[in-house]
Amino acid sequence: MGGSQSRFTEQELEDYQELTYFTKKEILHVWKRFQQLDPDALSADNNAKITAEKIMDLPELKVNPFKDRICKVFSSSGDGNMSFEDFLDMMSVFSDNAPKNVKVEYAFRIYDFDEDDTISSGDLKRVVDRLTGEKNLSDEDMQQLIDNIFEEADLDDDDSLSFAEFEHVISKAPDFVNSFRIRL
Amino acid sequence: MPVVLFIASSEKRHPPARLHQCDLKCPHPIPRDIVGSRRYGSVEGVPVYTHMPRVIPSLIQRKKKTEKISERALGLPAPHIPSVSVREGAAGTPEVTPDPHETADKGIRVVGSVNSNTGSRARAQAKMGARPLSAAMWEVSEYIRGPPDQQTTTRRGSEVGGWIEFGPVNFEPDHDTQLASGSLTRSERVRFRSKVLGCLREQPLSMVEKKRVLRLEFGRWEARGLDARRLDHSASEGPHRQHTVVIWRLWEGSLKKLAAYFGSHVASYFTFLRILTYLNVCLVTVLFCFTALPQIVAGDITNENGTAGSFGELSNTIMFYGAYTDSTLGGYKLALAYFLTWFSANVLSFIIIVVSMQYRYRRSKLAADDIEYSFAGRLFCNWDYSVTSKEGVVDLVKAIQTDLKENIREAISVRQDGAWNRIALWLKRIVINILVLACLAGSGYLIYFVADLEIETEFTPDFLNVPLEKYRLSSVVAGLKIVVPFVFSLLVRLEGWHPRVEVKLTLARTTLFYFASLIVFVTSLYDATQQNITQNITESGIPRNETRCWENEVGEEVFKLVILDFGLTILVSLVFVVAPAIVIRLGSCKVEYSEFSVPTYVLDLIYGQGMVWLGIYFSPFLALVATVKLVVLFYFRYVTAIFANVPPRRLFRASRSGNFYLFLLLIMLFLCTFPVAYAVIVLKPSAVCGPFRDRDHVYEVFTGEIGSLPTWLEDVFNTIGTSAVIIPVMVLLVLVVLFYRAKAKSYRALNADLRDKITFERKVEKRKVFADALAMSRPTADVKGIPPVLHMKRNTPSAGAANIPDCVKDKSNTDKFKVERDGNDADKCVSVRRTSRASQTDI
Repeated sequence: MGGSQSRFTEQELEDYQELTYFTKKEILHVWKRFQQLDPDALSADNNAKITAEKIMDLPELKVNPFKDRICKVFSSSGDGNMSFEDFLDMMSVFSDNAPKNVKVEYAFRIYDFDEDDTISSGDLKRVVDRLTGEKNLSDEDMQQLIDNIFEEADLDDDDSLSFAEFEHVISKAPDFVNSFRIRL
Repeated sequence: MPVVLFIASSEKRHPPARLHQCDLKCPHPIPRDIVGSRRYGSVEGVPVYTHMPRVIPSLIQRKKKTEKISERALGLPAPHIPSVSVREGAAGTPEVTPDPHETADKGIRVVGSVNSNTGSRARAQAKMGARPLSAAMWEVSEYIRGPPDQQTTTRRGSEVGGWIEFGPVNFEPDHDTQLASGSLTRSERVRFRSKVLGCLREQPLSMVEKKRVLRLEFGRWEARGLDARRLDHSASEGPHRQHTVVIWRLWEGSLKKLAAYFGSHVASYFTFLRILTYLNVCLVTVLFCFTALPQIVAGDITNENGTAGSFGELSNTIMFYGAYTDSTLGGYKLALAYFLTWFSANVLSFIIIVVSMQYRYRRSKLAADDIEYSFAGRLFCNWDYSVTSKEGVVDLVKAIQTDLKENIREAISVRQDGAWNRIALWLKRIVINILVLACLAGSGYLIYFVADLEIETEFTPDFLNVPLEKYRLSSVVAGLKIVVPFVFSLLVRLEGWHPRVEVKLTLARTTLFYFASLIVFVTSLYDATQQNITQNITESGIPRNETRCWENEVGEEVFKLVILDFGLTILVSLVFVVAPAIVIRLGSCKVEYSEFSVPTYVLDLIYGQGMVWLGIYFSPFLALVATVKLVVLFYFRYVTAIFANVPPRRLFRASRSGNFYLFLLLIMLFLCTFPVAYAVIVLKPSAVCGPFRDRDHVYEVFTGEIGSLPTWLEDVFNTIGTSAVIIPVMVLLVLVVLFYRAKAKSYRALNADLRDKITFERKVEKRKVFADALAMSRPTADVKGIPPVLHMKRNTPSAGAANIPDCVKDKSNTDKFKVERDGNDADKCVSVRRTSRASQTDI
């Protein structure tokens, strides 16, 4: 780790530590993992971006059905490509120490496929599809499921879940914090 | 630049209910970069955004701490930020006044809203000076004071409207602010900083933005040579970094790791194991301190009279009952101590279980509302992001799929079989239940039979004789314990139950079997001891040191069973769990990883603990053995789980199961205490060994003490024992239980009622708001011909209709309700289309 330490100034590390839920040591570990994804691109420039494909090769993300959404949500340029800071952000949100409200915020963005700030029935369908594997639910089942979800959670009857409603759902689910995390 | 809008109510816990009260709207496309804003819904096709500032509620909580700091830090001079004041006019009509400083080139401007309910909160915020904090955080300002000339009235008015947030503006820290921050003392700065940073970390901003805010806030302190950032390394760690290792959090790291692999359900097994370990450690401490230690001090650690039992010389040491004596150690009566210690060990176990049950119950109550969100919760919270192995994902997808399907099926509840099929199914179930009962009876008989059996030694090889003789009973019991539950789990599959019922049924049957086998085991021991006692009497011609104490024998049997059970558990795991895993790793695909079956393992634990309670009277060191066993078991299960198990294929709710296990444990405690209590009260202790060797009954050691009490106390004790007292007390207790049951029932009904009411009101309220908004906006647009930027909804409980005339009048003939308009960009101000869509869909 000594080698990578020189990539950041003490100041930068302190900033990262302030702004994430990581210690310096963990930050350097994250950097190490990030660097392994594409050593060539990063050899010169710490802030170089790594393409979404390469990020998705990360073992921790590789099998995640929402990996493309995760990349997109955390990418500051919005196209899925990530700089180290984006990556660090992501790992920070998924870390053990990140509080629920931060996680909820990003979970909402991940599930909001069409990025219109509400989770519509289209979004829900895609979530279900990804969770259960493509086309494993019949159309009726799917419709029933979506109806039930709106019945429960859509308090204002606009057939989509706003952030407030989403957050409300999550606040009733004690296991969410435990499941919404990734360890590097 | 487009105009924005909105606001907020910050009651985070009940966002929807709160937000209903402050619907606003904005006819313009809203820039996506507005920090923390969220589309809440739409009115007539126009999105309504709300802002839920996270900073504020936490600030209110920390009010006391921050008050002084923020006032002195940044609160005094208001920085030049475009701002608008909102207040409620005398007649309760809303009033928005743009700040004179506001300029057209400063990004986003308008704003506003609020409902009267936030008034008090707003006042609180004004008082505590929350504004600068959020200004620093968000580069936004929420502003309560009006422009200078109106300031007094606004502030003193009974209805300060609320507060306002802006989108990003270019916040330039001005000179005054810098001065103010310079005037902070060091510790204040440190605290202030950690507060701000704590909040900053929670913001869903990208790193670049966060860094910018960080620079803004702290750059200038550093520039002044006050490097606040290094002052307080510990403070910056914040509340999230407290990894204090206390004894209560034993194995926490391993537990977390497990939870990460297997989900919290599997982890609940390990937490249960941990509770048991604590329990046993307590038992060991108590038993050792009050019985074994005095015995060691007194110097009697072996029983010279005894013969070697199954454990050789160890049988005659203080490992077992026989070696304890009736001596006194400076007034400390060892026999009495033995009795009381056993008694309090049981009470202690009881207390520990009940307390942890209560603790868990309370916790689970807090999160118990999940009936409401079974589907949504399933969908959004079931995916375990920590699962990273391919097999894990496949399993998880399968599990979620079945889970969802099952629930959908349940929701539709269209499971209609033909009558014939149903009859067949029920017949099958009846047959299987009979089979289960037969299994139970058969295994019970087997235990009883083996306990009585005299083994014919000529049929078995010599080297087997000794272990057969020694371990036949315990090995039969332990062996049955493995075979029978397995048979049950096979049988239940034929019955065609719903999977959830299936799990519960297996669990119930297995528990029944465990209890039954324990009871049979104990009775057969009892029979053996009876024989032993009668033998002692009939063969009294034998020299005394040839006789053995029956207590020791019972203790040894239990001891053997505990050890054997442990060995078999590990053996079975090795054969059925680890071996397949090794085969798979060697490349064969024919076998599968076995899943981590939590219910079975938990029952194992409960059973083991039952043995301990059964045995500690006869062998106080059993608790020590159990502790060691549990620790070993923890690591064994931990390693095998990680090496060879896959997560359960079905999803369980972890938060529910913990208490159920504890409940079973409690039942086990009672079941296991009864036989021992019987022995203590009825049976005659052996005459040659043990602390009670000179007495006819064990409890005499206690009543003997009572004999030396004053007569009135003795009378009291004697009276308590009579049925004249006991029966009324029992009746009273039953009545109390009934009373509380009725009470609990009515509370539950009340709860359900209230929940219904809340849901209902949310919907009704929402519709009302839409109705008001529509009624308010239509005339305005018509009269003025320009789009209103926002409308304020004043939430009056007496419904919106009464409000409308006021508002309309107010808006159309005065410019009190000043709306932001951008003259240059008039065409950008897309007018709100008041199509009938909203009225169709929303009202």
